[in-house]
Formats: sequence, C-alpha cells, structure tokens
Amino acid sequence: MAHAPTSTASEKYYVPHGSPWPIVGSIALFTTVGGGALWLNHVDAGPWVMTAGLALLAFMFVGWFGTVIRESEGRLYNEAVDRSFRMGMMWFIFSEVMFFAGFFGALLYARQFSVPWLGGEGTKLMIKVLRGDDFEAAWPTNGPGNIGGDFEVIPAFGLPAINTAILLLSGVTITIAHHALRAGNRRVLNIFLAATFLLGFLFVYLQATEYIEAYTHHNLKLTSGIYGSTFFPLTAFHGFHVTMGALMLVVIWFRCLQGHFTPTRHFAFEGVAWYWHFVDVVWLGLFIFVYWL
Amino acid sequence: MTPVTPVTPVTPVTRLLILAGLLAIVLSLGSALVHLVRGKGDSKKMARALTIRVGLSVMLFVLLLVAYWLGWIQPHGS
Repeated sequence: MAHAPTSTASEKYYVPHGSPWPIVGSIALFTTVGGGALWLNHVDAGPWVMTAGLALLAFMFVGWFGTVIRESEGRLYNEAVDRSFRMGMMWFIFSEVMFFAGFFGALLYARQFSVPWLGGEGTKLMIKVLRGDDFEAAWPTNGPGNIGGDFEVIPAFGLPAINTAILLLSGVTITIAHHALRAGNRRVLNIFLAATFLLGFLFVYLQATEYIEAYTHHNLKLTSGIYGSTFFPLTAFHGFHVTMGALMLVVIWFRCLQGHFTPTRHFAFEGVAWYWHFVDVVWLGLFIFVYWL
Repeated sequence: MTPVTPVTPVTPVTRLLILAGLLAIVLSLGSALVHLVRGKGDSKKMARALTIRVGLSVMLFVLLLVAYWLGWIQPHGS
C-alpha cells in the first residue's frame, strides 16, 4: 500500500534487497496451517501452534507493510511500481469477487434447485415418494430431516436493518473523506476517516450480538440445515472482511495523521476506500437476498 | 426446472426495481475499479463513480423501506 512519486525517473522496477519478510511469511503460513492440521487431528498443541503461526503472520504484515510505507515515503517507487500495485489490487479484488460468488452461488443453487428437488419438483417426484415424508419446498428451510430442529430467522427489521444503515452511513463518510483528501482538507479527511472505521467496528459488534441472539433465542445455528449452513458462512465471512477493512482504514488513518498522501497521489487510500465500498455492496446484496427476496 | 415459489410475498415490479438498483450499484462500483486500475489523473472519476455508488445504495435502502411500508414486499419470517 503505497503511493508512487515521480522523483524516480527510471522505469525499472524497484527491487528491495535483503528483505526478510518473504521467508517470515512462509514460516508463518506453514506454522498456521500445520497447527490447524494438528488441531484437526486432536493433538493438544495444535491450537497453540496455530495461534503462534497467526501471531507471526500478523508480525509479518505489520513489518512488511511498514517497510513498503517507508519505501514509498522515501520516494523509492516509480510509475512501474505504481502500475504493479494497481494490477495487484485488481487481481486481489477478482479473487474476492470469486470468493463471494461461491457463497452466493451456493445460496442460489440451494434455493432454486436442490430444495425444490427435495420437495419433489418435476422429475424428482420419485425422490420424495421414496423418502416418504411430507416435505414441501419453501424458503427458509432446514430440509426434509428438520436438521437442527425448528428455528426462526432473524427479522430484517431488527439488527440487520440497523447494520445496513450503519454500513451505508460508513459509505457516505468514506466518500466525504475521499473528496476531502482530493481537496486538501486534512481535518475533514481525518474526522470522516475515523468515523468510517468506528462505524465498521460498530457493525461487527452488532453482528456478534445478532449471532448470540440467533443461537440463544431463535435456535438458528450453523447446524440448522441448509439455511444455517448458508446464512452463517455468508454473513460471518462478510463480517471478517469488514473487520479487515476497518483495520486497513485504521492504518490509513494513522498515515493521514502523519501527513502521508497528497491530493493527487494517494493510491493506498484509493485501494482501501474502494475495498470499503466493495464490502458495503456485498452487504447490500446479502441483506436483500438473505433477509428479503 | 422452475424456481421455487417464494414464501415471502414480493410484487414483480418491486423485485425488478430492487435487482435493477443492485445491478446499477455493482456497475458504478466496477466503473470505479476500472478508474482505480488505470490510475490516470487524480482519481476524480473514481471518486465520482463511488459517490454515485453511495447515492444509489442509499436510494435502494429507502426503496426497500418504502416498499415494505406500502406492502409490496415482506421480509423472511414475518
């Protein structure tokens, strides 16, 4: 995450020498996944090894991003590096879009195809006859076996609607901050950027409250058949993305306080701001398809 | 393979409006990404596309509330 100054005229790509971060990152990932594998195999040390791996991964992120920020502020980057950052952003977003497409696709497939088939639609009538129950295709459902027992869905006009308003408001505040940065109004930039990540953390807190509500009062759990196993992964992975986005905004905010970025050169801000808009739009899609349509 | 009839009532016009709004939002977000990746100028076009994105999102949220108030759509579990 850096902005590329024009002071380096060369078109050659800047290559840092002697950076420890790639090998630190490799060790961190190996330790994390190894710990996870041990955990799955019921080895007592598994969770500890995984935690150590995640801590090393966080250390690597802080160290590596810190190095990149110092290099950027040290005017070591040129247009070639700038292009590579923008290409990197594009591929990162492509992977994110495909990630969420998988989960939305699973929801669509379950609702439009597999649940109607289980209800005996079309040529699948024999399946229902052989199963011998009275399951009728409907949504929300936990399937013919009433897996996880009777449950209630979270009403849209509770925390989900409030959370939608909060995230939309954060979209407005990041937009104001963006325009303020372009206009050179640093005070407005700092205030509205802070408001954005605070709204983001509030969203995550309320999401956690909603989960507690779902588990304790609605008997809606991850194990509540097809509804639970699409609702929780979709909303939880989105919540994780909001958390990551808010942390990135915090980093950008500290950089703004340090006087980083100019009205015309601020790629790191652009990247994080766009990412925030992306998680906002994903939530909007989620709010509509999970709670309404 | 006909789609399952939704339990939640929603008028066809409301459904169309919601989906069209969502599509417009995704397109404006995509437009901002294109400007971001191209990286030409001072991000004016990108900021403008994102402003449109936010405006459309707020309008869609308001549309949902109004449609509910008018009885055109009911959320799940109601």
